[in-house]
Amino acid sequence: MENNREFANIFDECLERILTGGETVEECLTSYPEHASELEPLLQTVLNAKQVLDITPRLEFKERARYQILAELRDIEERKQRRFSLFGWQPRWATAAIAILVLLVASSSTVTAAGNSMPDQLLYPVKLATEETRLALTPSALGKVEYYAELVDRRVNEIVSMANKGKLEQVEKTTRRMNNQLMAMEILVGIEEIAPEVLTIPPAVPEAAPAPDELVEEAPAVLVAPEESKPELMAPPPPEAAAQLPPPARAGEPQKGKPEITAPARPVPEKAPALAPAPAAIPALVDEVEEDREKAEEEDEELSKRAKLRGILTRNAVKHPEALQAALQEAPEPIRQALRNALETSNIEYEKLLQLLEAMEDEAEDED
Amino acid sequence: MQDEESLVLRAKERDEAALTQLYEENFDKIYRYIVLKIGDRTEAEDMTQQVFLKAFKSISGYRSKGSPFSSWLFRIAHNQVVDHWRKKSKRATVPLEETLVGSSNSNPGSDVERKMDIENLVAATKRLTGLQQEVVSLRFAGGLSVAQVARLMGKSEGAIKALQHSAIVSLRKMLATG
Repeated sequence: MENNREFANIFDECLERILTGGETVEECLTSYPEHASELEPLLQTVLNAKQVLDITPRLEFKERARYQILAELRDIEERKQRRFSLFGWQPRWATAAIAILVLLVASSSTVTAAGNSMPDQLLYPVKLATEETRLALTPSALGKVEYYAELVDRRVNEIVSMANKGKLEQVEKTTRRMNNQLMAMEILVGIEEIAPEVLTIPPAVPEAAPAPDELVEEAPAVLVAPEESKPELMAPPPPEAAAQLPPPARAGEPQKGKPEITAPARPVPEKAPALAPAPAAIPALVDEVEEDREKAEEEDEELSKRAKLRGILTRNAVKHPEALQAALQEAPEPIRQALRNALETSNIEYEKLLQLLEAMEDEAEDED
Repeated sequence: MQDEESLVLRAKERDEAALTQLYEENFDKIYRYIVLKIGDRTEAEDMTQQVFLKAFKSISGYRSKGSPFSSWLFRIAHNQVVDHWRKKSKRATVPLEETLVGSSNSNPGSDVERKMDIENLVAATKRLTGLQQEVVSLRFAGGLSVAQVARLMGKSEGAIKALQHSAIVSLRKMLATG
């Protein structure tokens, strides 16, 4: 046994000296004359195998494969960017509608009571159903990600609570839920490839409406849109106005389709009257200034949302493993492996999420 | 290692020059590893491409932990080979001698010789134990050191040296007897 181990070491040493040190078989054999007869055929076998394996892929294939891989990576990056740029757009009417619905739903005492329930309690399924409903009613990807972050926070509390009670099955089930929710976040943030249509939200105005693109994107639901804006959305602009003014935002006019609940009136009218009597070319300039300002506001809003999300995830990435680690210290042996799994899941998934967000922020900064 | 770390960092930022360098430095090694495992050069090319595509798509989640980047690639390649055999068991196979034609070597006589040698080597390697196969593939096709193989396979260096020795003894016997 010992001899075998010693010979295996000598054999490897000779291999290293020949393969990386450039020595010949004979040179190595002189170092170990007592093993030469046994070493020589084995070293020769390796050299023959290395020679046979000195093969390369076809050059044209290698070039083409590299091109295809880089092209696919570029494509994925572009899709991610498009997806993330959608994060800045969250229809305000939807937020308002959800707020009303959530208020209605939250008024139910059962649902309220279920909100604090734990996986071993009767009302827990109500809690999960309420979460699912709220998720389904959250239209924007960023909104969903934020809510998932909140849900994962709840799951961690539940895992810790169940671990303290020694309930292995509930710890495992809740860990699976937490894992699913972290993965759903990953998909939404863009770490996995997803079809862009996942984030597509159908326009809320009829296709025939002569609204400009920007208004189609931000068109509110009829229920929460300002009353006076509705006829304008449907009616074509007067020909002379259409000729002079590009459609997005006419100075001095009420903002079509901007919901009053979440978008307070912008200070456009204060600027617009001074510019109103100016010649035809000036309103176009005003439009450009207004468009730039709106764009800047939207970009600021998007950056602020991303920063908020990053803040939440950064905090949770520390808080959750700490909580699980603390529970692990106290947990009885049968629970410990389940908690280790939860801890590992949490560490890995948060790392991926934060890396992706960081990469996206860096790219956004580079673009600026 | 420091150089590779900075290269990987740049690759994580989708720096195409860095990605290309990682590709060029590792493609042939991964390809040889797969050829020895599956014995099909054309399929090995496609699989190697898939390995790099998978690796680069998920490079943001890569952490070196002191191992070279190629260790990660070999791990992905190993999984790719396992998937290959799983799928292969469900469909007809192409004879080895057909798939091995197409070497870049232009000498027809030498081509036949090399084809037969590769065929024999692949066939003999397949008769080794799973651990021996892995050690031979990583050491002599992939070009990893004993320490790197040990780390990748989660074994001691002594165990890898012993596996390497026993694998070569067996290979020699099999190649000698045909």
